This record gives sequence, structure tokens and C-alpha cells, in this order.
Amino acid sequence: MKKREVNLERTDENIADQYPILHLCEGLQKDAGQNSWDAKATRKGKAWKLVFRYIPQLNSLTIEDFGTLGMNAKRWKEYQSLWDTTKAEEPTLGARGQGKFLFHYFAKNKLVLTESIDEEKNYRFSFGTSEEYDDENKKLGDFIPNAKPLDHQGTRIWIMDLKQELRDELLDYKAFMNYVAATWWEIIRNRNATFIVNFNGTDHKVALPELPVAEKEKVFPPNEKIIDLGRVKKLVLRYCKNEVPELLRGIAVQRGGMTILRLPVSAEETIRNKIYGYCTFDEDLESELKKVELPNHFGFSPKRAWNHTREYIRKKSDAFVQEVSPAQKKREITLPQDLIERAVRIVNDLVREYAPELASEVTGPRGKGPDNPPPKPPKPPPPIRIDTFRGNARKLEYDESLITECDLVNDTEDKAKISMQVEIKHEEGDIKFNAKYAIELDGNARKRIDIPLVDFQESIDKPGEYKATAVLENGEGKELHRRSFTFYLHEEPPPPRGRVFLSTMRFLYGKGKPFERSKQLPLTDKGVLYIIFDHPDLAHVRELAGSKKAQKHEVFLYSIKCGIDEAVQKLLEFRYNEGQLDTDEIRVIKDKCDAMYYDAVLSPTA
Amino acid sequence: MAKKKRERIVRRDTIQWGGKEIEVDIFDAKVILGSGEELESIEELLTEEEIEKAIQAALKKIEIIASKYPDKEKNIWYCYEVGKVLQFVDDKGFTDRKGLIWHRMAYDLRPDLFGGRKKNANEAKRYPETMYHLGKQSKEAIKRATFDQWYEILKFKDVYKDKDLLERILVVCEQGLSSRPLRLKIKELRESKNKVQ
Repeated sequence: MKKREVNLERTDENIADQYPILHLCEGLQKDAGQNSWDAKATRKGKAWKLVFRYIPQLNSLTIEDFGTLGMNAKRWKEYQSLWDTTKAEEPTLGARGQGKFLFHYFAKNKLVLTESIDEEKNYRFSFGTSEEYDDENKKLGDFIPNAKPLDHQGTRIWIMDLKQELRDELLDYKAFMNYVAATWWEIIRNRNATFIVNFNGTDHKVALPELPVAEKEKVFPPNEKIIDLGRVKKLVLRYCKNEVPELLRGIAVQRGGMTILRLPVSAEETIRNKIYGYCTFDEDLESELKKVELPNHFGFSPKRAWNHTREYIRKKSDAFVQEVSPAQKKREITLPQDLIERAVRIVNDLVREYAPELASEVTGPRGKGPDNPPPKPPKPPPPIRIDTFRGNARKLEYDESLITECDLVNDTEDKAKISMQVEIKHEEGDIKFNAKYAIELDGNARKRIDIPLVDFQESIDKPGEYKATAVLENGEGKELHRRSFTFYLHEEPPPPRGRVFLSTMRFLYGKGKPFERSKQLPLTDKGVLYIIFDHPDLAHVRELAGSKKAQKHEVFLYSIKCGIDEAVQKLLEFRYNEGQLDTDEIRVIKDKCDAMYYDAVLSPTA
Repeated sequence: MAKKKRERIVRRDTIQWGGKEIEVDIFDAKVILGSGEELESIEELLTEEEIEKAIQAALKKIEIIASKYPDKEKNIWYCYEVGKVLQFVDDKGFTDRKGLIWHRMAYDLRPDLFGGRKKNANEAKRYPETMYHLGKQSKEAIKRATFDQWYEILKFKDVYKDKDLLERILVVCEQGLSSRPLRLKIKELRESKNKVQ
């Protein structure tokens, strides 16, 4: 076997691409914080301090920690390597050994200097780019004449000659401190951890984030088990009188004292903006979550550990939302947790789900054929019906879970006693899941049915097509409504067939045309959406994206958003023509649209 | 055998808008939802944009050249200078799409800079193609033949790459041979050269 050649020249850019666009500075403080907190000298982080300092004369940023172990020979070697770390197996925050490469990305010439003093007072110095480093032939003074070398146990990193576009963003010290506070509030509060930001010649100590007064607080019973994964240590939710600052809204999912992400709650905007909270876990669950954490520490992969944890938080937060919502506002807004792969189908899914009447006669990429008979005229929906029944993904892998959303609606005046049978079946007939629910549904009400997450394991479950079916029956056993969806386990799903709302997206220049100011043109009869490529908004998106890879994702997201806008527009028109458009309905549609935007933008692959 | 991917570029087309047909510059790349190639299509879209930007930049340069030549029609030096600009297709790695680029420049965008409006795109492409090949010649070679003579020479693919053969053709041009007789002579010279080889 021959060793592969590796070109590390663009490593820092590739790593920077993994961070959500516009969140690079947030990513920088997260990576610096986690590296340093991992290296704390005592278990509780006694006298731990991290200082971010901008030196205008050098246009450089230093990151210096105190109360840490510093790097001995072993840690020094690990630090200088990429992806060569054993941290994934350790109860530390870092896992991939790649975050530090983000530092190189901030430097114009990718130059980063590192000094460290270990427990035996050995001083180490290196300089390097993302490609190479040297820790033998030069000293700090060769780069910064008269600079005083590090004089305490710990580490100091110099990011030399900052890129202008990143520097301007970085030096907004208030925003940077807010990021630090929003990420590290737990260790600031519980461990007295100190973060200092000095970007303008003055030391600013990061304080706990300021939050509005809570009107209602709920602390859920501790030690609740998440299947066989571990336990939730604490889940606290608070509803405030006033709006919570944007950065702190939602439920902070904590690991090792760091906020990985904030899960938004499913509620209408006025309520959603007033809720915040946090969730901590025991060692077992933290360790499981660490395995599925994204390398950028901004989220988790949709694997079993995260799916079940998220589902737990979602259920609790849904219940909390019901408690704090005014009675007439109890109508739930579902919040899809899709990833970008699903965003591709999101527009068509939305239309199929909420307005099948809108689907045109355009066929999917498989084209027309005997499988695609002409569409039947739409039937009016039954008054007692399954309003939502869908899975979280069209394709699942082993170790992932199917999350099924299910909402029932009763449009009659009377309370209904009904039952619902849910079955998930492999194409060869094996039953994966079967459950019957007895339900009482009030008149003019909507109800969410909690269908358990279904896990798939390679040793048990066959790959291939699965069909989930829900059948609603009245007290006499008469079928009232039926819905189903299909998904694929460890197998590529075929392209969608049949009628779709949107089949193709095309791009054109709008300058000088009558539609110059539009973002897109109305959908054609053939399901083609024309997007204006030189619209300032899209031009801006491309400009901000930087690398081609990032541009590709941004343009894709923008296109999906245009598709969603178009679908929402059509849906509003449709509801209006049906006479069903009231403020509640507009809000529901708007929240759907927001939720999809949110998921698409936060997606780790974006 | 793997199917060769069709090369794409921004082109002029008509679409229906507000009940009217409207002419637009549209990208060839299409994002077909559910095809599984959505991101590849966007990548193609960005490449098309890159080409379009290069075309616009080249046209700006050509406009400046054009302002120096009030009489551009079959002006060998105008064509030569423009040909130099058109080398961007090679410099930027767009050689495999040069036909489409000529179409875009000479048919969609600025026919006035490329010998005027032609009946169809194929005809329009010949002019920039000739200019492009002229741009590859030395100044000394250029002045030894007229535009029409070069037009005939360059109809023979790659003939100019054979320096010896080109020299013999240019000698013939200097003797005043043009159009069909020149074409026949080039054929003859090429065949005799092949026989010797």
C-alpha cells in the first residue's frame, strides 16, 4: 500500500466552509474556548481564564489561557496535527482536532504562532500555516521583535495579520462578547470561568447574558432516561414577560459546559420569542451526543442519540408551550427538523401536505409514463381527518430514527371518539411498527399524536422501501381517513414520481427587464420557477459566501427559499379563493415558511 | 462508453411573462428537484456565470479596440487585435465551450463587433472563430495576407499550426491568389505535404 499524498493548502478554507456562513467569529470563540477548557488544570476549572486580545500595531489577535495545563510533548504533537486526536474517546469537548485550523483561516497569510508552557515549565514555540509548521528553528522575537514570551503555565496563540473582512466583523467586541456569553454561560455561572475580550485597549470581562424576568419557569424532574443512552440531568424552561434576545432564544443544548445549539420551540412567534431554557445530560448521554456532534460544534448529526434527545426536549417544550399559551392560541405549529437534503423536496412536500390542489400536472424527473396517470380532481378533505402524517426523511440510514409527525383535525362542532392505527411495513411485508391509539378529539380542534421514534438497526431491519400508514376509524370501525408516506432504509430513494408543484428551477438575468425587482417569476404551468440571478439579494448572498463551495450551498438555499416563497404565495391565494384565509391561517402558513427557512439555514451541510 | 456531458452557457431565449413573450438571457443549467444532481447543477450555474463575466469583460475590451477602427469590416488588424482578446477562452480554460461563447458574443450580445447581424447563429460564430485564430498568428504573418485570404486559410482546421505549410500558403497569398483558387491551392499544398510525409 502506498501512502496517499495530501494537499493541506486549503485545509483551513475547507474547515471554515463547515461553519455556518456569518458565524465564523462565533466559531472562533467556540473552538478557542473548547480547546482551552479541555486543558483546564483542575477538574472544576479553578482560576481558569481565557483572554482574546487584538493588537492593532500587528493587526493580530492573541488567544491566551490561564489555569490550564499547557502543552507537554504529547499534547504539543496532537495540537500540531490535523484529525489525529484521541479526544473523541475522552470526556473532553473537542473531538476532531480540526477547529484550530480555523485560526489559520483568519490570518491573511495563514500564519499562526503558538507558545505553551507545561506543568514542568517547558516552553514551546511554533509557527506555521495550515500546511506546515516548525517548532525548532525560530523564536517569537523573530516574528515580533521585543515581544515578551509567555511567562505562565498555559498557551498563547497569535493569529497574525488578520484578514480585513474577518477583522472588521471580529472587532465588534460587543457582538463577540455576546457570542461568548451565549456559548459559555454555564461555566461562567457554575465554575466562575473568566473570559476577557480586549479589542480596543480595554479589558472587558464577559458577564452572564442579560435575560428578561421569567414569568413562568418549569424545571422538569431530573434523571429522566432517554432509552438506553443515558439520562437528562436537568431541563429548565422559562417563559418571559418580554422578548428574549435573539441569540438566547430556544433551549440551549449543553455539553461539557458549552452550548452546542439552541433548539427553537414550536410556537407562534410572539410566544416563541419569549421562551428560553437549557438542557444538561449525564456523562453517558453526553458521551453519546459527543459521538454525533458536528465537528464545528454547532449541531448534531441526525443519529439515534440526537434524535431521541431532541424528541424528548421537543415533547417537553410542546407541553410547556401549551401551558403558557393563551387558550385560543393552542393551535400547534409543527416544526420540521429536516436537513438540507430534505430541503430539496421541501417545496413539493409543503404543497402536497397542505394544498394538494396546487400541484400542477407536471411530473417529477422520471417523466410521464404508465406510472403517472393524469391527476384526479381533488376531493374535499373529510371533516375529521389526519391533517399531517409524515416522516423526517425520505432516506434513513442504520442508527438513524424515523420521527413521525402526526396531527389530527376535527372540523365538526362535536367531540369525536376515534381510533387510529399506525403501521410501518417493509416492502416484503415485515411489520416494523404497529400501534393503535384511542383518541378523543374536541370539536373544532387539532391534536398532535405522539408517535414514538422508530430506530433501525443493521442486525434486525432489512434495507429497502418502507411504507407508513395511518388509518383513522370512528367508534363503529368505519374508516374516516387514511394517510401514508414512504421512506427508504439504507437505499437511495427513486426520484419523486407523479404530480409535483415545482419541477425545475432556472436562472436568468433580470437587469433592464420589467421584472428586474422581482426575486423570481411566477411558477409556469410546467412547474418551472425562474429565479432572477442578478437580483441584489442573490448577488449579495454570493458575495458573502466567498468560496465556490460555500456559494453553491448558498445559491441552493436561496433557490429553495424562492420555491418556498412561491408555494406560500400560491397557498395564500388558494386559501383566499376558498374563503379560508383568516389571520390564524396566515400565521400558520407564515410560521411554516419561517420554520423551513430556519432549518435550511441552520443545516450543517449548508 | 460514458455519455459526454453537454457543455452549457448563458444564452438568449424567450419566455412567457404576463401573457407576453419576452427575450431574456437565461442560464442553461437547470436545477431539477429530486434528480439527485441539484448541487452539481448549481455548480454548473456558477461556471456559466464565470464564463458570462469573462465574456462581458472581453466585450468591454473589444469595444475599446472597436473605437480605434471606424472601418471594422474585414479589417485584418481589428480582427487580429480582437483575436488577441478572444484568447481568454484558452487562458481561462473555456476552450471546450468556445463555440457557445462565440454564439453568445457575436449573435446574442454584440453582432456589431463581429461583422454584423447574421441570419443564424452558426454563421455568426465563424467571424469570432476566425478572429480567434488570427489572434494566434504573429504580426509578420498577419500582414502577408488580407482578411479574405486568412478567412480561406483558417477554414482548413489546424493548417496554421504547420509552420512550413503556412509559409508556403502565405507565399501564394502574396502572389494575389484568393477565394476559390486559393482554397484549391491550399488543398493541393496540404496533400503534397502529406504525400511527402
